[in-house]
Amino acid sequence: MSSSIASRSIGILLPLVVSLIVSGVVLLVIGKNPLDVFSLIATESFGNARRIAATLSAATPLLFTAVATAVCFRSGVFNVGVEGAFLVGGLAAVFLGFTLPAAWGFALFPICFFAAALIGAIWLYVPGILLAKFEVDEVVSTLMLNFIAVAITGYLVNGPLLSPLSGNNVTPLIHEVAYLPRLMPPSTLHAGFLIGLVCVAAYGFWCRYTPAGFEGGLIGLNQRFSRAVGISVPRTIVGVMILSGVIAGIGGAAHGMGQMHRFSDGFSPGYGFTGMAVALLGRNHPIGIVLGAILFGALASAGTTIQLFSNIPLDLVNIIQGTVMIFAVVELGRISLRRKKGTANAG
Amino acid sequence: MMTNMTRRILQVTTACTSLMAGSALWADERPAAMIIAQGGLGDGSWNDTANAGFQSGLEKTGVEGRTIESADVAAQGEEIMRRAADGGFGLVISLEWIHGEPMEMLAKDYPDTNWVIMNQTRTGDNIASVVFGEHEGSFLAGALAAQVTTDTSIEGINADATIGVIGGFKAPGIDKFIVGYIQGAKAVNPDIEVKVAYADSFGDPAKGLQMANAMFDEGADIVYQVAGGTGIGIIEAAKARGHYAIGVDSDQDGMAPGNVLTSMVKRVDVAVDEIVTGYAADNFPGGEVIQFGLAENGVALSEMTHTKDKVPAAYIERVTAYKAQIIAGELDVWDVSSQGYPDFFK
Amino acid sequence: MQVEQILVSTLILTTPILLAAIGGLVNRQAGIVNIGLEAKMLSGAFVAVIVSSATQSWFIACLAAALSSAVIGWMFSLTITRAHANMIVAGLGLNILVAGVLGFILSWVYKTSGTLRQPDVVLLPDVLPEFFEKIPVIGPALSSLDPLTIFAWITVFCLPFVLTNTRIGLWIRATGNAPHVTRAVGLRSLAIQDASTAFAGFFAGLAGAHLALASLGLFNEGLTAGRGFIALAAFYFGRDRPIQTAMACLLFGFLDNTQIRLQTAGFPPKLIGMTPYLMVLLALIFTSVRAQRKARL
Repeated sequence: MSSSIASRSIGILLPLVVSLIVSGVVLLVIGKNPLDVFSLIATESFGNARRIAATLSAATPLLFTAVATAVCFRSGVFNVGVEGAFLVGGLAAVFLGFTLPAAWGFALFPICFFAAALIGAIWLYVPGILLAKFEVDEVVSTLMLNFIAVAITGYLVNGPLLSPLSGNNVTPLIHEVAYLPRLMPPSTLHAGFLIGLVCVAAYGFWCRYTPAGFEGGLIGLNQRFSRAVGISVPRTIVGVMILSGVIAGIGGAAHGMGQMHRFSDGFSPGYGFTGMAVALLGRNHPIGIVLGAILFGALASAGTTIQLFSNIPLDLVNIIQGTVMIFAVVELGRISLRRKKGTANAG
Repeated sequence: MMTNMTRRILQVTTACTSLMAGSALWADERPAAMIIAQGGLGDGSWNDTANAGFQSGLEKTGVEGRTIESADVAAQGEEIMRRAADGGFGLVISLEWIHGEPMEMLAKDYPDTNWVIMNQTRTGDNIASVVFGEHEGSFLAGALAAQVTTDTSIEGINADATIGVIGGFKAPGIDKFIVGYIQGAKAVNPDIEVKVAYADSFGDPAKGLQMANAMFDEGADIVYQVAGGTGIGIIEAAKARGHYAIGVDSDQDGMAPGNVLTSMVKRVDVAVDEIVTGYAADNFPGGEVIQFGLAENGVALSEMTHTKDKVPAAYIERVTAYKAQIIAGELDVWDVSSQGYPDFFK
Repeated sequence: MQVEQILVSTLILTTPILLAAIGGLVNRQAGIVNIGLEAKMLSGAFVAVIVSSATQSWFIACLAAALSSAVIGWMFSLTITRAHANMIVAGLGLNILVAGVLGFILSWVYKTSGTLRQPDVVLLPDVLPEFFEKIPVIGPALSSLDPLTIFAWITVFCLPFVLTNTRIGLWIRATGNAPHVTRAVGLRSLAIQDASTAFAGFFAGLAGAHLALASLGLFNEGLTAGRGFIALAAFYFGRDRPIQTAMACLLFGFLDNTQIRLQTAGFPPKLIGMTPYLMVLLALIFTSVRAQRKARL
């Protein structure tokens, strides 16, 4: 990974440019003016304060999932299970949010967040220890755990935790006192966004200024060297997985207590996977993560609301998002056309 | 940044303008928006049927309208609805159940916008709640199926008193159909066996096909589909195996003529069409709960154009009799969404 | 009657996953984890329906599906091998992109949403003549065999030989296991990887064609429904070996079948639905623990 500013900015701009070209072509084919559409998306995302708030609101879950992913990717641990940890953490927080007495007031916040962090940590500890001790491939184990998380939370929401008298699979609403406050009412932007920023900042601090963060990055660069200098690779692996679970869980709690106020089917439409794209687009760097989260948040939010003002279907947004995801992880500075460069490998 | 003052001025201006518009006896020409439920268009049932009604209503009245889909429709609901209201839309309909609670709150903030929610009741002078009687329609479907399933003189029917139902997801909204169906079947034959399964998807026809085949293997000869796009596979399975499926939401008899016994039609298209028309004529049913049950012809069994000749008239008459009883209030069909789960179902 | 039907449906449920898994395992042997199988299955199904209706030939339809997905696979592979894209995210992105493109085509070109029906779609034929059905127990399963299923199983049994005893097989495995050696010997490892991804695309396209043409005869946006990921689970479970992977696919097909029947017996649907994933996880743990124990000896 080249650290020069030039290649970093190309790394972030290239996917955008390519996806704009691809979607521009698609738009021309169906007879629409790409410039009109893109400017509409831009105004819907950032046009005025309310729009910006909506974009940031959509970006909030991505801050958490991106950091949770980056923590592991940076260490060479290919954790794709943030989605699952987000779900189980979110459900845990929401569960306490409507089960514990409302009279506990503000005490509910730390309790729910702590529970979510704990559950998330346990959830990702399992594949962590499996990888560290038994060399179980973390890609598959975490991928499977995602499906299992969806199944378990889905079962609980429809069964024991189902809200009486409802038409859908939803839990009861959490107590109003447990709602995260809104930052710019009436927009849905909530305090979870600030918590997310704090997480990103903490992540940046952790990477740069703490031994643990440094070790995490080191084993990502060269495991053999890390072992040689006395770093316990297994312990570091488990450590970053737990940390990832904590952040993903907190993200779920923030989403459940700030945005949704309950748990339901569709609680996470793939925030974990989008977060992965954000982490990679941002090259695991805190500022890159924030920008990436805002970009994807804008796509999600504006992609929906532009349907109110144009005939652009949701599919176009998917095309843009898919292209961005693919080209986000391309490293332009290292395009190899000759055979010398070597093979691709996972991570 | 919109200060309170600016907002207040905007609200007053909007109020004045609409007052003037109202007093000028002009019909509401602000555009309409309809938010599509989770699963999106192309489900072949709920969303598509509602959209058909929406489009026909728009065509008839000349009102401009837009449908909005989202991959994150649960979390974005409030933002979308607020954006629509801010963006000058006069009618905002949501097909997504979860939007009920935020809509109730938004309706207070936007008294000049007309709001519509489905499958639940919300309070507000500018909210119209549409409630369907899918449990009642499903009762009739079950009653018909129970009669047909043991009549071996009808082709494709075996002697077993076994029928089936496949739901999209395990959820109260779907179980409402299923429980009604079971109740109707048991009213005809208390010993009937009704097989229940869930596909865990509203868009996997291949799975629907397999699940229906599994039920046919276990002796069912009629399978009721409450699974949207997955149900397309269920109907295809009935066609391939020479048995029967029962369609849902829209008239699906034509998907496999002769192999779809009937369809439990849920006239969400009529509901949406009527609402759009009413809105355009300044006659929006704000504050009302619109019942679309059997009595109002909001749900019904299809005309059975392709299967009428196969089914003895006596069976259809008995179903009609049940219908009359339900409408007259003599027969109570269990409603999962307001009564929870009954003893005879889990 | 029950046993026979279970055999038939297990066979049919297994084939698409098996086809995709075959492609996936070869791809992984060459060093690429193909998360984008879903996308290629979906596009394969789409192409198959359109071509089948247009040419009235299931064979051309399957071929077209396979080739188009192979091309997509190859282009996708280029982003990984030449531009060093992260294969996991690129794969996920491909899934989203292709779903978006297909949805777009469906609504703008065919003016429909979600489902595409074409006139006179030719389904896959039954290969064996009717009287086979009379054979006890395995009869109905045999008579429902279609060309793709047979092709899949033939490939499964030929692949081990090809991988271990031919030069191409050696190249593929060397590229995946010992990239430095491959380079030292002068092989064009990147081209080999691209070819293996195209191979995976070819088979994924066939998997999609089977999904569409085996019994349904139509295309629906949700046709793949996560089967690409189950195929991934299968070849991880089978440690990239063809026969073990095929067994895993059969197991999943069987579990899927049982799951359907267990539901009618009253088990909670959501929990049963996660059985294949749970099984993979447990198998993964089990095999890894065992490998570790052996290594320690």
